Amino acid sequence: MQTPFDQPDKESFAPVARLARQLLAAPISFVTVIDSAGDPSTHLLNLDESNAGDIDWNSLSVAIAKLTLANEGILEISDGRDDSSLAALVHKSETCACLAQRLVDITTEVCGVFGVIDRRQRVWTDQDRSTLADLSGFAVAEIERRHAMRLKFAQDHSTEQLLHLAKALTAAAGMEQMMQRTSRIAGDLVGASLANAAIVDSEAGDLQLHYGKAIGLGEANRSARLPLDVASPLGRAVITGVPVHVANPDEISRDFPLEAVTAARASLQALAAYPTRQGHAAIGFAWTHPVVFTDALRRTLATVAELFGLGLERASASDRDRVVAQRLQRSLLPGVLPYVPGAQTAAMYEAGAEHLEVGGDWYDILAAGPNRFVIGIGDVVGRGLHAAVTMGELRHAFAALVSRTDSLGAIVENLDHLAQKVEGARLSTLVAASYEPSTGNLELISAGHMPPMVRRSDGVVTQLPNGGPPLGLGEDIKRSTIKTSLADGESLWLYTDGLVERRGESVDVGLGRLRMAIEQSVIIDGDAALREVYEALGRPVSDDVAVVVLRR
Amino acid sequence: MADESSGLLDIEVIEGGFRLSGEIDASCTDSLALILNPLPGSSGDITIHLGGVAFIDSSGLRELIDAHQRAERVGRRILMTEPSAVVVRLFEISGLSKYLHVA
Repeated sequence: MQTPFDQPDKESFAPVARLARQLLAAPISFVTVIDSAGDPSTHLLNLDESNAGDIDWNSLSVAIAKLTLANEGILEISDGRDDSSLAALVHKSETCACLAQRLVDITTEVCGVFGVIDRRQRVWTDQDRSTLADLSGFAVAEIERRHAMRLKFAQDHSTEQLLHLAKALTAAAGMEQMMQRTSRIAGDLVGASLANAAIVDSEAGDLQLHYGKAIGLGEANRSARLPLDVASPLGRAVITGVPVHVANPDEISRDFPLEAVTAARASLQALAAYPTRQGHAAIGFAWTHPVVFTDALRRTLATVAELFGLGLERASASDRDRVVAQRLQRSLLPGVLPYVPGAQTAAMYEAGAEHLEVGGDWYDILAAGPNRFVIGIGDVVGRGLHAAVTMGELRHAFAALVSRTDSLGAIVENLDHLAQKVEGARLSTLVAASYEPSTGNLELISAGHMPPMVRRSDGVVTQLPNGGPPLGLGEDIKRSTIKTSLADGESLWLYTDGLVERRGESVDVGLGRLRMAIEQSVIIDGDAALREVYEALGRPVSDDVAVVVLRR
Repeated sequence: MADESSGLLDIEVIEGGFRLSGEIDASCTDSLALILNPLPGSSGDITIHLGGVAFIDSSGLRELIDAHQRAERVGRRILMTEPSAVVVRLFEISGLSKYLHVA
């Protein structure tokens, strides 16, 4: 049976492959996926075509993949001419070096090979090995995700709705969102008017519930808690591991007397709860009419619970990946900020609490001459590896432009052009600021970014005006340059929207909160001052946050 | 059945365009793309009534801008009408209030 998950397409591995090239400074990377029979089924090569030369990189990387599979752990070759099976594939005048490792899935089966190739002799460092190991985690996650989806899809009937459900599971960003979406779509699928998903909270010893469908339930009630006992269908399903079916009001009164009053008030006449195979979770439904639990309906409910279980597994796997993701993000951001004469600089990046993937926020401070520093901060639309790669590209382009031109306008204009060409970069926002240490003069250009703030020496914080739309919108975009200057003790605050934006409130409320926090901050030291303001604003739930402060 | 408690986006077809209500975020860009790409009808302005939209995130903005650009290319206009104060500020902060046609 054909499923949408059969072929590990180039697209799904492209971000991790490109990232490997970028982080390991290698021109070529590859992923080999092994099928269930243990044979290499797909081999994906990622290289800059313009720089391909006349070596058959595909054959070479296939040979490297084979060598890696025959080896234990990591394959490391500093000079390809030393290896008999590779020597024939590289020309006499040229050589290659490679670093590759076997991909191992959760069942400790080898599921593929991931590696990079350089076109010169190269001694691989510990840093290289650990970077490759980090990235391998992402490649394994992608292979497992496709594998799980393919298995489920092949077993079940391929209704549009189930496909929709599978999509929702892969797209959901966090546990809560995944639970809401799954139960909502599942509820639609079986015609229920109420649907929720529950998971055991082992610390609190109860069930955490998220509603996907619930008529008349306000925003505040979309999540709830339930005792972990057999008095509710969900609790009973979780505890016994057996599906619960309640077909009509009489059965509700008989089997769940404590639920009967609530059910009657909401005109609910039938209930069902299905546990996940992995345990500790269940998905629940209620109907406003009696229901006959046919075999077909039971099968659909069981399938939905299976998919929900898979989604939970994936979400908690993402939890584990989060640490790796954050390290990855940090490796794309500057490690040490340059010394700016007569000023203090500080910067921070925090990943969102709810979202498990890396975001697209970036910043940089660059020396552009003896008396000139350029600061950039930006936000790429989207999340995950795609956003991280695009973010890396923009930041590198920014740094390259700063070294090439003194004009802030030209830097932003060039990034504008780049953003039109690079799909993932469109609508990225940015503030570029140029600072002159001797005078304190500042020039800023904003592209759809959150307004920079300046804390004056009297403690009052002013919000600088907006400059123009985001990057990549096309020709004839005029952006104004904002000029100001910093006196001693004054500071410039640049930040991304995650610092101020909260769902359900006007952005002005968030900006006001930030102004207040900066005004009330008492700490002068860069890093600590930044931390103080960040803590005062409260942790954002979803978005990542980057902040850069320059204090004269 | 409409689910009023949901944060997801509701789309209603009205004369000359659509009425959107709810929250426009990454979870509903597919549905937005479905109604706006290709653009409905063959000529004339398209109205997007935003009165009931409480929140737009960057991927939602991107979808609206994409539609705006598709329309401009064929000499049509997307009119965003009755945006709430929250959405108006979002357009301003994002530097988009002059770029989009906001009525």
